[in-house]
Amino acid sequence: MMALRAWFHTAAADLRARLRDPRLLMVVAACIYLGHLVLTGRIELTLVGRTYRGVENAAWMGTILSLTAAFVLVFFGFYLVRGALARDRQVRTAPLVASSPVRSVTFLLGKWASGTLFLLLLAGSMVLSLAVLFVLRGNGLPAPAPLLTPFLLFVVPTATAVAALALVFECLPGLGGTVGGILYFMGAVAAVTAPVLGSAPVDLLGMGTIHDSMTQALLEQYPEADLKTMFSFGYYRDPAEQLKTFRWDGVALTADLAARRAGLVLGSAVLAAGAALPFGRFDPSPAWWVQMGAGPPTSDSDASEASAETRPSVPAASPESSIPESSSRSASLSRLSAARSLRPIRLFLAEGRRALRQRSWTWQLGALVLIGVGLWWPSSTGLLVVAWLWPMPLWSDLGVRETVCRVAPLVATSVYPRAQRMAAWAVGATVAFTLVAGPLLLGSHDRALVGVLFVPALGLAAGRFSGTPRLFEVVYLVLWYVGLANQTAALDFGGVAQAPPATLVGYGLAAAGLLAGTVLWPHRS
Amino acid sequence: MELHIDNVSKTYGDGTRAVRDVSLTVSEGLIGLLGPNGAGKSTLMQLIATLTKPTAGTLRWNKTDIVDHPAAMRRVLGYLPQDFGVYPELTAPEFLDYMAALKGLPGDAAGARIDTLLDIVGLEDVRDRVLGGFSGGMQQRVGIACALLNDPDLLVADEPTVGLDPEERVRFRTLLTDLAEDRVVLLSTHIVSDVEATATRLAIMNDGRLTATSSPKTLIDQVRDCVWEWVVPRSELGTVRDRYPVTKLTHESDGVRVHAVADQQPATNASPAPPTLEDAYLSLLSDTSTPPR
Repeated sequence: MMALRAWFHTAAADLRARLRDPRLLMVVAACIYLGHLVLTGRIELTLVGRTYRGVENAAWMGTILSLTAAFVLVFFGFYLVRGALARDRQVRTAPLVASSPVRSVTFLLGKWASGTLFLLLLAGSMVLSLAVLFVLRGNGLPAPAPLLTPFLLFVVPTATAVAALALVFECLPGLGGTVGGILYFMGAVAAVTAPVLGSAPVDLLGMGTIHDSMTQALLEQYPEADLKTMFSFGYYRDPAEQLKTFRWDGVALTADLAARRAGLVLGSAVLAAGAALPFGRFDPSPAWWVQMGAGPPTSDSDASEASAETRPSVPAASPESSIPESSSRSASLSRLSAARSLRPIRLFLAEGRRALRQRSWTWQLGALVLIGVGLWWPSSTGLLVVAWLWPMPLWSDLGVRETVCRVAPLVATSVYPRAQRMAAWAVGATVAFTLVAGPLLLGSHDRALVGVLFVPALGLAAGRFSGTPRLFEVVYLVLWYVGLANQTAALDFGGVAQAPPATLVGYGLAAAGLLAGTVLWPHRS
Repeated sequence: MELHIDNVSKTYGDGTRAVRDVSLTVSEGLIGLLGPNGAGKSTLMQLIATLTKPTAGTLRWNKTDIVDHPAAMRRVLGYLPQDFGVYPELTAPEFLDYMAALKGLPGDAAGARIDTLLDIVGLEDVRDRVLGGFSGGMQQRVGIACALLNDPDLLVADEPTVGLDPEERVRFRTLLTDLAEDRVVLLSTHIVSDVEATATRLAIMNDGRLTATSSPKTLIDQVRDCVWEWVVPRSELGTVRDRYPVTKLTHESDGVRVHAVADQQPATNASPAPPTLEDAYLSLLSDTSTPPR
């Protein structure tokens, strides 16, 4: 009974903290907009390369909405719910929790329940917005069952899995920061696509089930359909017209399907409870790899959100008792006669030292290798794609470190707080330029210059706005994956796919706008 | 050098009125801002440090409006916030050099200044250790050094002695007294002993309002002949505490010796006692009505 109470109050307190963040309103607004896009057909599911689509009945609309919600949860929700433990460190409730009788498993299950509920509230706002828009269009109330069944079958288990994975990533050493975010993103892409392409051990979104059900319905009505390119699901500026339609009444709710989806929920709970094994219960002593003097295994094990006392990048943490006291000190301080003025180079170097000192030697070694290989083999597009990913931990910290380390009041009351932001951007741009210098200067990838200006501006703006590295991580990973890894010219900022002039101008203007907005935006007290 | 605070109020978005119509003029010397937790001291400090803007009133430094021209204040300001941190991967000289760059100090002058400050705050021996290994008190000393980096004309220190050991507290008070000879030092605290021996003036805040500004001696004089000591049985201690502002209790064999403020002799066995600043402060707080926010 006590454990149940502890679980409930952990979940309730965590959920309350999440819901009281005013930035949540923007996320909810985005979810409502997504509901609108589904209803207006901008987010569409077509079959056989935009050849067939289902008749717009409640089952079809409900499934598209649920798939959209599940996609949002997998690719964005993870970054929203991650950081629950880091927040406890930051607001300094961690020692209170660690010294309380609550068991780690109970505590983590509470966090998991809160994360799941939070994600479901976001997904629910999409469903609600679709229902309201449906009514406002004069269509009457939508039938609840076809709308809610796919929600329960596909969105709820996905939310539980994403919340559990967020906890696991936060508890595992080295995966709490940007590196974990990158690995998760890669894994999520694989987890979403694998069930449609063939067999996968876990069907996270239920895409395989939906795919099989729709295929069966399509073939019954169009036996000649060529199913080589089956699913096409995404946002289209212009809704497809003159598509062939087929009737589909939703996924049949069988006991087997219900058991599989319930199994995913159960597995997620087990996963969240299992996170107690690597969970250090907020132990403030340096992690084992730091104690062994080897440096952190990744470039940023929870680098941006860990508290100072748990930060693995502190190489020589020592107890106060081992630090000798100075025995005799004078207490006189003469007046300073030196002239004071803005010194951009000095500020840039100070900011650069701070940023690079935070990175592990493995990160710095990797950066040197990339720079060297880039100069040796400047025409390699693959190398350029990797080079655009490597500095991500550094960019994701721009505009965030001051808040996380509670240095913000000192910076804000200094003489040149705006110049500090410019210097931070310049450091990010210099790192970007150095990493892609070979392909940019010696290869035919000169269009990467726009990325050098844009990416640090995005990192700084996202960090300043959100106060966490996660907003930048998710936005940048999507841009990187679509624009660079998939070489989509229209989104290419890195010089890999010969971006058209309009794209370059767009990124250039975005860089200028983001940088100006960030530098001029006043300090938030 | 003068700081003018004229009818300043600060109301937060949730309706909390942290500072209400405060007016104060501060010139060279050390002024202690005393008040209980939640009195509005830190908000007033943040307003002076240009961290936040008032919802009403004006703040001027040597006739320059610092709300409209915050940079003018920041050039001469040394600010030690109540809650601040450091970059854990940097050493103390590196962190101070970073802050010196933000304050526009040239490299050579900053280096010499940092050496002096590290010596003064007692961190010279640990200058090569990263800040992540520092205790709270040592980080506080880094903050003190940071506030003094640019040789400020106005030093604003918000609860500066938190985390310092007794020896360091004494040393810091001495340093502040020295600095206050030709600077304005504004020291916010809820610990009376921090300002008792050093402040030339005291401002007492309660519930967002400035309830008194005076010299420590004048405040003490206000409770002269009103401070008493007497022994009460343990069973009556609660009643006594409800009735009088008690500043000190000493357990004795026949009961508890009470040191309290009262206009008239509170008991037949009560004898007059020499007043302290703490007596005056608590007496003033107990007299102040505290309407609900």
